[in-house]
This record gives sequence, C-alpha cells and structure tokens, in this order.
Amino acid sequence: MTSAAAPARPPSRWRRFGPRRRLRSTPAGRVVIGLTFAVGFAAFNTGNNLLFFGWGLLLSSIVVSGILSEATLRSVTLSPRGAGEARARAGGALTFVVKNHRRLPAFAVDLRAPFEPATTAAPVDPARAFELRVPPGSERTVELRFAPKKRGVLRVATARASTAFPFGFFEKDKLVPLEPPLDVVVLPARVDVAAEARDLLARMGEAPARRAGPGDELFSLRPFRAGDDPKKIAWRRAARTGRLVVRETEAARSNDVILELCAAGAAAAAVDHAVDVAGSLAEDLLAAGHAVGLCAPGIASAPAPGPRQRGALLTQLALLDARAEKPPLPARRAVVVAVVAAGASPPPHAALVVRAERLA
Amino acid sequence: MRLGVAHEAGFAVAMTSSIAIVLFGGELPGFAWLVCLAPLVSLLLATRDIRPPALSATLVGVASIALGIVTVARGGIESSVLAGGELLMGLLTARLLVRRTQAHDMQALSLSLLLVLTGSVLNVKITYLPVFVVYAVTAVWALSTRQLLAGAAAVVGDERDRAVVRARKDVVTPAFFGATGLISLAVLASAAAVFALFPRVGFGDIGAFLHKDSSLPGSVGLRGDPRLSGGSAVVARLRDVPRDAFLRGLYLRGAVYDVINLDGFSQTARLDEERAGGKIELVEPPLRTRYEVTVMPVVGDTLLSLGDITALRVVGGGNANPNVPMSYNGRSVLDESKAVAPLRSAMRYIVVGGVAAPGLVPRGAKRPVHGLSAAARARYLKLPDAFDDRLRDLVQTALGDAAASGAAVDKAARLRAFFLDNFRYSQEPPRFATSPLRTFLFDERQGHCEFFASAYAMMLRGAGVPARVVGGFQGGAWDDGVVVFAERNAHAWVEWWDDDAGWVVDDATPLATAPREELSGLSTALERVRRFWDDTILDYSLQDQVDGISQAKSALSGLKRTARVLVALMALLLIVPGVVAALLLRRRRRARGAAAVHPLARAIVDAVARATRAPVPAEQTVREAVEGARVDAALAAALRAALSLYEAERFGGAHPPAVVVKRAAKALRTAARNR
Repeated sequence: MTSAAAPARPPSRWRRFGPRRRLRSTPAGRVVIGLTFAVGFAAFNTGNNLLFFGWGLLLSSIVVSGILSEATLRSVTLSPRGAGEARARAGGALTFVVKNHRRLPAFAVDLRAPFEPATTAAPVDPARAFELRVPPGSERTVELRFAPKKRGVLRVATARASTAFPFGFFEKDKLVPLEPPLDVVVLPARVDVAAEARDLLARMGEAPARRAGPGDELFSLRPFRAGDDPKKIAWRRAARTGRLVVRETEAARSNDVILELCAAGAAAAAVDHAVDVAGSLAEDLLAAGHAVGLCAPGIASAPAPGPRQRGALLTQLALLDARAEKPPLPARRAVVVAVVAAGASPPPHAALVVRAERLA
Repeated sequence: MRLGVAHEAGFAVAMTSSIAIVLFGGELPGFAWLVCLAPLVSLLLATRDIRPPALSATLVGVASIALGIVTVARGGIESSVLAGGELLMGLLTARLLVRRTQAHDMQALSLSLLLVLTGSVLNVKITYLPVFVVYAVTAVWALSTRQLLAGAAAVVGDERDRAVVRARKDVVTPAFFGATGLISLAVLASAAAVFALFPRVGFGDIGAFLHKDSSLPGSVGLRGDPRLSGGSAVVARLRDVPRDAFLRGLYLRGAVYDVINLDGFSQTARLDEERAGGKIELVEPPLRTRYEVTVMPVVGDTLLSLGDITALRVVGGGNANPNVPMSYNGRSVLDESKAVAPLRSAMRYIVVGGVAAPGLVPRGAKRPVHGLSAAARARYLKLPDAFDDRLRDLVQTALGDAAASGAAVDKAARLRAFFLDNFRYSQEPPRFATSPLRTFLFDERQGHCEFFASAYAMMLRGAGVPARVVGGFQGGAWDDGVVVFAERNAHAWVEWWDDDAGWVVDDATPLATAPREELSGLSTALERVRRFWDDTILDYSLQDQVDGISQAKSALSGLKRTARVLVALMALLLIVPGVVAALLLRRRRRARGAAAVHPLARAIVDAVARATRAPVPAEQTVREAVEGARVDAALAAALRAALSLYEAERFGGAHPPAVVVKRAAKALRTAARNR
C-alpha cells in the first residue's frame, strides 16, 4: 500500500451552505411522493378533513425522515485506518473507524468507499459495510469489503456514509474526502499451482548444507548431552563403546530460485494469468523454505526467503507493466524457473519451464 | 427481541390495523372481517418458511377486482371508494399470501397506506383515530426494522448470513423502542400540526364521493326491511332545543312523499309548479325558536328541521371546501328544506322556526300564507289506483259518525284512534298475501312506521283530507342540552292539511308515544367522545382556523404592556441563543473541515503549523510536512515518533490501541506547546 497526495479540488460554492449531502429517493420514496401529491389533490378537492390528516401523515413522514437521516449522518464520523491484504478475485477490506458522537444510537449506517476510475485495476464495486447499530458515544472498527477482479492499484479518495433510516423513502449520503487518498495494491489472484510446485521441487532436489540440522542423511555421531532426545541415541554404538552417543542428521540447504516471467508477445489476459501463476508459485516455493527472486519486465529482485519477500514479490507482480523491458538474469548461482505466458517465447537459456496457459 | 421477530410483529399489526380502518367504516359484509386473518396467515407462513404458489395470490387478486366491479355496478359511482377499499384489501391479502422478498414487504406497506387513505374517506367515526394511531406507530416500527433488514441484506452474502442478522438481539433494545416511539410521536404530532394549521383553501369540487347512500330516499317500498332499523350511527345533533319540546316528542323533518300506493310511497318525479333553477319561494311562518343542527352527510340535499323554517343559516361544513360554499336553497314544492347541493361532509346550520309535534297547530297562524293550491290539493288527495270498495268501507267504518261532520281534525282523530286501538307495532315484515298495505290493514294488523304512515295518509285521503307521508327522525336522546338522533330514530309519519292551521303533524304509530331517551353512563361517555370527534375533526374548517388566530390575537392584545414585554423577552431568549449556537456550530464545523483525517495526522499537522507559524499546504503529505519542518530536537523527536506510529497504522496494517494513539497525540501537543 502506498499513499498519495490529494489532488487540488476547486471549492464547491455549495459548500458554504453546509456539509456535503446527496439525497436520492428510493422506489418506495417515489411511491410516497406520488401518493402525497394524489392525497393532497384529493384533500383539496373533497375538503375531507381525514384526508387532510392522511396528507399530514405523508408530509410529516417525509420531513421526519429527512431530519432523522440528517441527525444520524451528523452524529457519525468516519476515519480511515488502512487496508488489509487484497487479492484479485478473492476480495479485500478497507478498515475504517466509525464513531457515534450522539447520546442516542445511530441505526442503519451504510458505509461505502468508491474506487477512483483512473487506476490500473479494472473497475470494481465500492467497498461496502452496513452497521445495523452504532451505540451512543462509541466507536467501532468496520471492515468495508470489496471484490477486485484484477491486480493493480485501487485508489479511494472519498468515503460515503449514507442512511435511509427510518422509513427507507430517501437515502442521504455524507461525503467524506480522504486526505490523503488511500491507495490499495491488489495482489495477483491465487491460482492452483500445486502440481507444478511439486514437480519443480522434485526436479530441483535437495542441496546438502554441510552442517547438522533436520534432514534424512546421517551427518555424524557425538556424545550425548543432557536434553538430547533419547530416541536419537545410537544404542549399538553405545553398547560397543560403553558411552552414550547420539546420531546427528545433515541439514538440507534451500535452493535459490529465480522466477523468470516470459511475457513478450503475449496478450494482456495471458500476461495476467502468467502473473497469477508466478505469484502463486513464488508463494509455494517460499513456503517450502526456498529463497525466491523475480526477473520480469521492469523487475529484478534477488532471491530471498521469508514472508517479507512474499509481500515484496506479490506487490511487484501486482504493479508489473508488461510493456517494460525485462532486465537480464542476475549472474549468480540459482535455479531459474521460467513462467511462460501463452503466446510468449520460452527463454533461450536453460531453465525449468512452467507454461502458464489457461485451461479455459 | 430478535430483529426478525420485531419486524414481523410490527408488520402484522400494521397490516391488520390498516384493514380494520376500512372495515370499521366501510359498511362491508360480515365475512369481510375474515381479511383480518391475512396478516396472521402471512406471519405463520413466514415463520414456518412455507411458500404458497403464486397462483393463489393471483386468484385472490382477480377475485378482489371482480368484487370491486360488482360493487360499483350495484351502487354506482358513489360506491367507488368502497369498491376501492375492497380491491385494496384483496390485493393486500394476495401480497401477504405470497411474500418472499423485502420488496414484497414494501409493496404490502404501500398497499396498507392506500388502504388507510381510503379509510379516511369511508371511516368518519371516532374508531378511525385509535386505529389510525396504532397503524402509524406500527407502520413506523415495521418500516424502520425493514430498513435495517434490507440494508443488511444488501451487504451480507448468503441466506445463512441473513438469518444471523435476523436473529440479532442487540439491535431492537429498549433504546430502539424509545427511538421508534419518538419517531411515531413526531410523525403524529406533525401530521396533527399540518391538519390543524394548513389553510383549508381548495380548487373546487371536481369529484367528491358520498360517504353513504341517502337514508331519505325518493321512494320507499314496503316489501323490504324498515330503513336504518337499529343503527347506532349518529345522524344529527340538535343544540338549544327547549327541554319541554324534547319531552313532548321531536320530529326531525326530512323528505316528503306525496304519492301513496299499496306497495309503498314516493315523491312525484317532477311537479308542474316546480320552476327549473332559481330560488324556491319561502313560506314565512311566525318566529318561534332558534336551534342549531349538525347533520351527517347521509341526507342528500335535504336539510333536517323540527318544523317550518323562518330563517336558516349554514355555519360550516357541507362541503368543507371554501370554494364551494354550502347554503340554504329554500323549500321545495313538497315543502322539503333544501341545500344548494348534496352534503358531502358534516354540516352545521342554525334554524329559526317552529317546532312541530302531533296534535299541535302552529300558534299565531290561523291561515297559512299561501293556502293550498288546487293542483296541490288534488295531488295530496290522490288515492292509489287499487283503492277499492273494501278499502273505502274500511275508511267509513273507522270514521264512524265523524264522516258526516266534515272537520279534518275530527276525521284525523278517529282514524288515529282506529290505528292505535287495533294495530300493533312490529318490525317483522308482514306475510304478503296481496299487496303489503292491504295485508297490513286486513290480515296482519301489525307493521312498522312506514306501514302506519302510508296507511294513515291513504285513509285520510279516502276521508277527503289532503295528506302526505314525511320521512325523518323521531324522538332522539337527550344529553346535556344536546339532542342526538341516531339511525335507529328513523321514522315516517303523516302531515295532513287543515284549512285553518295549514299542515299538521300527526303520527298513528303506537311506539311514537314511548318515553324519551335520556343518555346516561357509558352511552353518555361514548356520545361525548363521538361528539368531540365530529365537532373538532370532521367539522374543522377554515372558519375554525380563522377563529383560532383571532382568539390568539385577542388574547395577546388583552395582555397588559408588561406581560407583552415579558412574552417578547421570552421569545428573544429562545431565539437569540438558538441563532448564536447555530452560528458557533457552523463556524466550528468550518474550522474543522469536513475531511476525515486520522487524529494523529491532524495532531502532527497542527503541531507543525504551530511550530512554524504557517499552515501546512493541503497538497503535502504528513511525512513531507514533518520532514520539511524546522523545529527543535525535542519536538522533532516527538514528531518522528508520532509519524512512525501513524504510518505503521495507516500503511503497515498495525492497529495500535486507541489509548496509545491518544497518548501520542497528547504528547505531541504538549511538546508543541512547550516549545
């Protein structure tokens, strides 16, 4: 996630008359407005006092509805608190704190955070949450959920708190500009690469680390020390020598893996799928303990293990621009895994090749 | 209470009360009350998740449309509101049977609102108000809970999540009860304010509907049940009537029938003497007494009075529309008192005139002003075509020796005695062997007032005395100076002509001499509640509004100078602080801005602005503001600490406790202040 400065906006001349509001009628509200006109006509026409009473009921429900929704919106404030991890086709959440300043509870607060249209990601529905009740004088952390379709950056410049309480005739919005706007990086979608990862791990094999550690091969025998696992005692040797000795295994060293994304000449959809595959492979390899780097258009990342590297690689893949030039592979000893997008050429050098082709 | 349960309960009560508003006032058949079960059935279906086929709703809807058409076909355009009520009840039942989505709930609520408005036209009784209040409160309840469910349904994913929302118990709490109660109160109070304050100015009477068919029809058949028997609905109230006149027996005169036959009585469709258009000529009897009549809109254009009328002034109502003022149009050729148009709402008028009763002749008028014309005499002497010798013999037998005397008053006394001695009052309709009147006179010898009146008038005509039948109300009930006439007081009696005294009221029905009714106990309480409703709600008009304003003005002008100054000061004390508070709030809101800024970011920006004595440009990020600020080491350290905490939370996914954030912001403010 990154933050960006707010673009300069011309001040609205309506701002001077009060807070920004947007009012729109719901289908039920339109029925009520129509009824109000019809009953008002009938009341004037017939002079029936009970019709005047009914007309008064309709008018007052409209007015009371407006007053109450305004009171609810005035009492509620929104503060952004960042965003969680967002993945394409999986969903994400923006975190806001909703505070009710009144002594009365606020009901039916609908929170929306629309995404700016000019972002690298595909258009996406606003992040949304609905609070049935915000207790008086309290604040709660609310997650506004959204479902991005593609990787990229989403920008939220405004949030909206709206309510149609109590009658649902009108929906009133309170516009809350976010200064600075909130940028959300949508990570590539997670795809099933279990078979490919298994195949890669088998073909790479294990590298001995020349030190003791968890592994399968015998490394050495050493005298027993307090705290050693009794299961590791070499009983035959102990019987022969009269001293307790334990077996030590040799640790297996993780491989350095460079994922090479080959996307030149591929269609945009194929590139996106290849990015998804590369990201998922990177996650699986990192989870298996390997150090993973990335060589892709505009990206050259050295192999490194751990969750920090996972975040870095996925973010780089999310922001990948396929039109950028691909840097050369780093001159170091590493296993190169080429993820080839459909329609792209495989690399001329030796590499383990994974073809990222969509089944459908 | 669970949210889903609260919604269903409020919804069911709102639906039932909207149906009840129409049922209480719409004169619908008894089986229509079964419709009240529809919300209960809907509730059971919803709680047990049973979904009837959509065809059932379609059938109910089609049946209700058919019922509405039949009602209009039978009752004419005047029944269209009733037909609308039936149609809406049917459609609501159909919607309640098949209710699957939130949109269906909203449709049902909209239909119920239409039903309530239809009830506003049909239900002019006091029952309207309590049912209306129940509807308003429960509709607010149902709408607000529905709004919560609908909002949650739009966000939560599947049906299981929605069930979780419906089962939540932390939403409908005592605070929620209080909030919706206050909303209901506000809606009702503002509806009452609109009702009371909105000027009654209209744009004409284009398409008003009558509430009910007239209870004083142009013709009466004797083969059916007596009209309005047993009804308790109030028809008219009379004020300022002398107590002794009430005890003597009041006859509230309405329609006059000049045609009598053996099947009933009626009015001549159009009389030769009647002049088309124009004012009807007034008969001018001597001044007697002054009384006020409030009449319900059930009498067409006929105005009820206790006798002959010297003057009549409409005080209010009738149309309740100031663009269509109601007024007195004089007496018709049949001596009916007429308004310029049929009454469409309750009307109040003051009458100056006589109070007629059987056996009394108008004092001070030995001869009527215009006498009886030859055409009128012929009309009121006309016998039925089937008036045969047997009937003629019966008249002669009843008259006895009075037949020879020739005095109308003697003949009337003999004939009245004939009925009172030999006939019995009964509301059971006679078994008709031939014609109703013949059966009444020769076989059954029992019947209700219409039999007595038509038979008495026919026999008077047979004896050579001009006579006619009069329809109206008799007796009434006394309550604190007000005489209340209800539907059960409907009556028919006779007026016969005396050359010296004019038209004389006479009644040969045995029950007419029964003791007068005095209201007491529960009846008094009910009558006073009804009277309050009729006087303050139904009869409320532009004149009342003008009177209210005038009273307020005169009350204010009646105050002494010091009191006026006090009132003005109190108003100022209320208004000035309100304006000042509004201005302060607005200034504060402007100062804070509308943006939602993290409290730490605000604290950092404020600290930098305070330290550098210059505002931070809006386009700068928080980090840029901190890095660009030239401040001392202590404040710089505090700024960096706050910035790292802010960035960790804003961009690093960390969620430090609120107290930590508050503490950091406070430390920053302290450092900036101590600089």
